[in-house]
Amino acid sequence: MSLSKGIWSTFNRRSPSLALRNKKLQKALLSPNLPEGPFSLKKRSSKIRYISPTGMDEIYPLAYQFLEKQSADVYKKIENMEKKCNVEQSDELKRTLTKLQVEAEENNPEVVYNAMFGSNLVDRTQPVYRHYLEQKWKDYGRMLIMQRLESLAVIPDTLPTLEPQVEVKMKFPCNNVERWIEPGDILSSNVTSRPPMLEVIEFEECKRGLYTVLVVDPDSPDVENDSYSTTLHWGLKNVELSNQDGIIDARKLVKNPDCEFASYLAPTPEKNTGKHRFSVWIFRQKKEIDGFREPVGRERFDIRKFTADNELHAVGAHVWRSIWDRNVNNVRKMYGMGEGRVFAREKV
Amino acid sequence: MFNSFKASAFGRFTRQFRLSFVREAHKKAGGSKTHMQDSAGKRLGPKKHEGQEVKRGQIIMRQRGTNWYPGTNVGIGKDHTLFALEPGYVRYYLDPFHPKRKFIGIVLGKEDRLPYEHFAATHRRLGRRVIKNTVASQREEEYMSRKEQLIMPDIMKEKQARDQKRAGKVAKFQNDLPKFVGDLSTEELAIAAQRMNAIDGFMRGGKSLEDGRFYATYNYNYETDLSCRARKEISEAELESRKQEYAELAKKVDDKVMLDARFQLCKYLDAQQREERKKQDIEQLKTLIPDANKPVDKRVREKAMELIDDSCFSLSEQIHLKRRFLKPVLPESEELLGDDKTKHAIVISRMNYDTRRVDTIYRKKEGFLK
Repeated sequence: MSLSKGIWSTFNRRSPSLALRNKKLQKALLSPNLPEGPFSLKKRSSKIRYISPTGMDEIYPLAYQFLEKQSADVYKKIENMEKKCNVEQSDELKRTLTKLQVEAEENNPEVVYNAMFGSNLVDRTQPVYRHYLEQKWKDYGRMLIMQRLESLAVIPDTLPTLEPQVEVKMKFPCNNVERWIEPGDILSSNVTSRPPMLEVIEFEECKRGLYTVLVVDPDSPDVENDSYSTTLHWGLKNVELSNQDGIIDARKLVKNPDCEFASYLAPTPEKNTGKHRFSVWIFRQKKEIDGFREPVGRERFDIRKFTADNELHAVGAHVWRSIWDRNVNNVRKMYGMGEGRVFAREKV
Repeated sequence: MFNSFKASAFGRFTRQFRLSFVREAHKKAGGSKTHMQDSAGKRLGPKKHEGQEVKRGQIIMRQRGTNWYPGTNVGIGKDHTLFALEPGYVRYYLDPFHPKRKFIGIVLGKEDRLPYEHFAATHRRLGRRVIKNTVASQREEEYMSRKEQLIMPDIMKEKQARDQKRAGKVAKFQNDLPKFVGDLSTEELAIAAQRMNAIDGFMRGGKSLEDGRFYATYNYNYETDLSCRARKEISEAELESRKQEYAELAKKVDDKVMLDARFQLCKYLDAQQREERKKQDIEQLKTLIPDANKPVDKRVREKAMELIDDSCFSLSEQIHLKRRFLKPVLPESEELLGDDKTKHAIVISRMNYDTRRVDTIYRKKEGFLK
């Protein structure tokens, strides 16, 4: 028996993605007495043996109805607000509206279930799901990426600092086995021999945003000056992303070949130059970039000047590390780079 | 006898007693508490001063505890000795991020000050030279650590086995492909077999058939692009023609053949055909096994397995269908229970909690799938 009769079971104004897709699961979640036991129990014998906590049968519908009523009130507020003024006009109003939309659905058990257990499949156009995704990211992903960027000194070696606003995920799908790369992982030259795939998860509303992607290596040896220089390994501009589609992969780039202004150059660290940090930077663009004032060179790439010139605002980052291995020479041959230098093992 | 013992014992006692009264020449112990506690100087203190030039590893400060902390390009020893990690100039400084500490650092340039600007890129020194001598550089490149040396034979063996397996797979595809796709020239067949091998690898890694096909094409095009633009082996015109040829070949092969759930070559079915086939198969299964709780004979079972193994089903669908139609253990209905005289009966002992006795259950062989 489903107990939902109010606003949370009507979908003329609400998106159907706010409900659970699996009907059995929905029934189990919304029934006070769990007629067939909790959905998570798979065995029939365990289901039969299950007894719900005392008092749950009375309390659960009461709590549900109370929360549903609260949600209905918030929806009324939203309606009034939309009637009174045009929300699209000011950012302040938009923010208030989003806040109310989150508040209206935050306690809906179905939404909470989706956000907790189906976070890869949730409808990111809904503010409430974005809110839950953001919470999850702030609890772990954001701390992790900042810790890696700081302890590997990617900031300030590439850009001064970062206030992350989007989650960035990366994998190398041109290989047989693909997995999400954790920031700071050391990858073999074979894995990185073809371009990665990036996923940018926006937590603000974004219907069509333009993004720039840069992959730079700040650890290229600069023998002349007895120092290091930055090399540009991949450059993308005007990549269109939205809440639904945050993926930058080969499919998208094959369709829009103009996006790539610097083709992918695989990492080929030379022997005894240590671990190279390949930092991936995601920038939000203010406007479309038609061309660059100066031709973009790979060697001695000044990322700070580039971002300032093109009014780019860094919103996310990722990093992986590469080191010389016995396959580097094959990758160099593949990219027609000639043999790499060999540095002395001892430091002078 | 007693007397003599007594006398000797007394004698020993008196002798000892008398000894303790003798004052012999020795210096009186004690005196002031702090007397004789001074040790030699440990030569602590700064060894290099502000602005002084240092080489790598030179000691800058000897100290007890960390009166001074190691700053930029400075290391600390187990007795808190500070030493230079890079050649440069010594700087004694304070860092606003650690207001209670004093630091010693090394700057690379003579005029530089510490701490460096917070958001500026760190000043780093490469400190390594390129080996120009070709023999020496080759030797350095081929150098292996002991760990690597020990593990290398195993790695090479595994690689060889992998390569062999891959070559075997390609040969198998080369052999099997003509059964599905007609009129392929030898060259085309070789390329098509390589493509099927690539798709097989992608699918085993968890990609869908569509993704596998896309990335097989993408990787071929990427490689061809590199051979034209990076390696300059082929011209632009040839690049385009090669891509075109590959696309045509890919289409020709993809329209005819695909890999099923167990990565075997089979006839290609598009999404609609697949759905239809699924419906048909399930209908047939339903007519074949109207009640899954009744035992089935060997012929029916084999027919059902054949239907379930159809290439239109994914692996998980196959497993679900097997669970639905061919139950491994059927319920204990009247007709499936036997007694102790039943031939080939499977005997199960089970605790009966109502009677508090162990029941012996004789189940007929037909109640089990295998």
